[in-house]
Amino acid sequence: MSSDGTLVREALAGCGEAYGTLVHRWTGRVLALCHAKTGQADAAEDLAQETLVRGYVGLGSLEDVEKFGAWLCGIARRVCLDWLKSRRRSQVAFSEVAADWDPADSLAGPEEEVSSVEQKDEVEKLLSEMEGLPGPYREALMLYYYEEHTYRELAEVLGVSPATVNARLTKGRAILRRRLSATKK
Amino acid sequence: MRQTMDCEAYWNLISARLDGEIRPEEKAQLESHLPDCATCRAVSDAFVQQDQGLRQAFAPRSAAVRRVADAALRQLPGSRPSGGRRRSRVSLLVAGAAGFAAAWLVAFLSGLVEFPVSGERGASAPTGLALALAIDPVEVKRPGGAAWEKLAPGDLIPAGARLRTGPASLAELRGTDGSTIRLNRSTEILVVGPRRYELARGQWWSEVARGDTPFEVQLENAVVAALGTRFDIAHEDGDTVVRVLAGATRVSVEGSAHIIRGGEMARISPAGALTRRRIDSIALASGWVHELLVLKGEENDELAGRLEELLASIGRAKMSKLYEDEIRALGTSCVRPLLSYVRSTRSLARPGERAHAAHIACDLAPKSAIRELIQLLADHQGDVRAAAARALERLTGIDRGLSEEDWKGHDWQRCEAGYVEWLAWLARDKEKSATPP
Repeated sequence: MSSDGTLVREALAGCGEAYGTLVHRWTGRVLALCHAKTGQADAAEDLAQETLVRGYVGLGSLEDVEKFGAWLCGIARRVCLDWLKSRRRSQVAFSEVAADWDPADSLAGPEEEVSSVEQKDEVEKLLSEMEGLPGPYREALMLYYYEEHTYRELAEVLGVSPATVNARLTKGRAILRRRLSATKK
Repeated sequence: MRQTMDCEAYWNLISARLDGEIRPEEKAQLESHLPDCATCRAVSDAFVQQDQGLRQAFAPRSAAVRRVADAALRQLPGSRPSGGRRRSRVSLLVAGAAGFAAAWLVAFLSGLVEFPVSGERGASAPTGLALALAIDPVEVKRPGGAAWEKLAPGDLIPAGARLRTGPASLAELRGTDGSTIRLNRSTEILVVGPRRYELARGQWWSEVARGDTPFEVQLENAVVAALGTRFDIAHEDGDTVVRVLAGATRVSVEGSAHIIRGGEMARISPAGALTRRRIDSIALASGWVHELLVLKGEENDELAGRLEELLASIGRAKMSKLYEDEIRALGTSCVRPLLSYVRSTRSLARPGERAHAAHIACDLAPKSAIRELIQLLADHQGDVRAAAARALERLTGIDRGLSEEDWKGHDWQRCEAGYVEWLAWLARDKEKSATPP
């Protein structure tokens, strides 16, 4: 299997398939990161897609080709931060082009929407609670459960040690356990 | 019991064991601690249960990963990345449309049962909609025309045209903007203009791509505007039901706008009253499109993704049979994707789903799958081995003197001879096994 660095060089040399391989290799982690940052699966898909395209466009600016993954995840974080700051991204897909769309419509959080719907089942509640965890634990759990990467692979994305990945997963699970136990009482 | 620092350290080991990251010496340390610590045992049980729930919750996300990757690749402009230059969103959209057209041509040349869209390409094409795939004829009444005629694949559908499917027809339409529309049986639509439609009757499913103009579907007393991705509209019991499978839509009724998000449905009465509720099962909500997916071949990612979503939902007591029935209704078309899932590394973390996938695939496997079934006889999961053995007996009448319980058991020595005999049979009787395509 070619390394990320080899694929980046091939892509810069004009091999279209090389970047495609990188996309398939990294989309899971990018999407997990965007989901963790935004807490919204739908927005995360658009933001992840934008990240991958920006990665392609800016590939020539990557200084260390072997650090493609960490660089791409950095783009994802900035894209998500822009979205969180503005709160009116066209990544809430067609907002820019719907003539009479009111941005306030898309700012209604999921909790406002579900007040009028039926009770979530256990699995959906678990996912919802995970989306509400503190950032570092949410990121670690999302990255793990999207594609079940190793601690070493997660450490590369998060910029921490594998031991810290372990600790964050453990802490996240413990908080989830406590919160779910509290809601059952 | 008061949690001690030692216990918290053991919780890290519990996580590591769950994640397959525990070292042998740590595993021994943990296993000697657990019998003496009720707190840690409770944590271990809770983490395992939570892990199962999270795996089930995230199972559909694998389809999202594929979807995002495919969508990103379709948007990539040209074959060579540029260096350090930032592009505006508009230029990305235009470049994306050209990239999409190229990707479509490649897909056609690779032999998919689909047709390229003829006529003008690009995000600003006048209508951009054409028939890509159909079960039974689809008819069109062109603007100013009096009669219905059969719609030919690839012909652009002009603004003002009406389309209809018959009692046995299903159709998939593709737009040059990258959107996909599927029409169920006995459905009629009016193509008002680019990305603007009316649903006169029947059922509609769409996956909407970005475009320069809004994507809207006019209903009898409402308008559905796409704010992203997938939704299904049906007429049921006199009401109109909008199910949002992913993304969000804006449904405008009687002057009020309602945002309906992924996982939610809106039922609109003829009087214009809208009630909202959660969809019981997204995987089942648009199951009628499966017949079209089967036409695209067993290797298509959307079919594989839907099967994984259905598999992940089996085991929920209330609806297990419905999900399994939905998969079985696909017949032999589901065998190859299911066996691919069983062989994949991602299935290893979901032994229950994996065994279920093998069970269904083996029940339906045709003779062309014999080679793969024999390989499964050496699987690490007893349920998988037993399912494969049962299928081989069904297809060949041969059981090697071993029962299903033998294959399911832990005594491999008992089964090894049978496995070797099957391998020899395969080598000797190749003409009986029909090499898979």
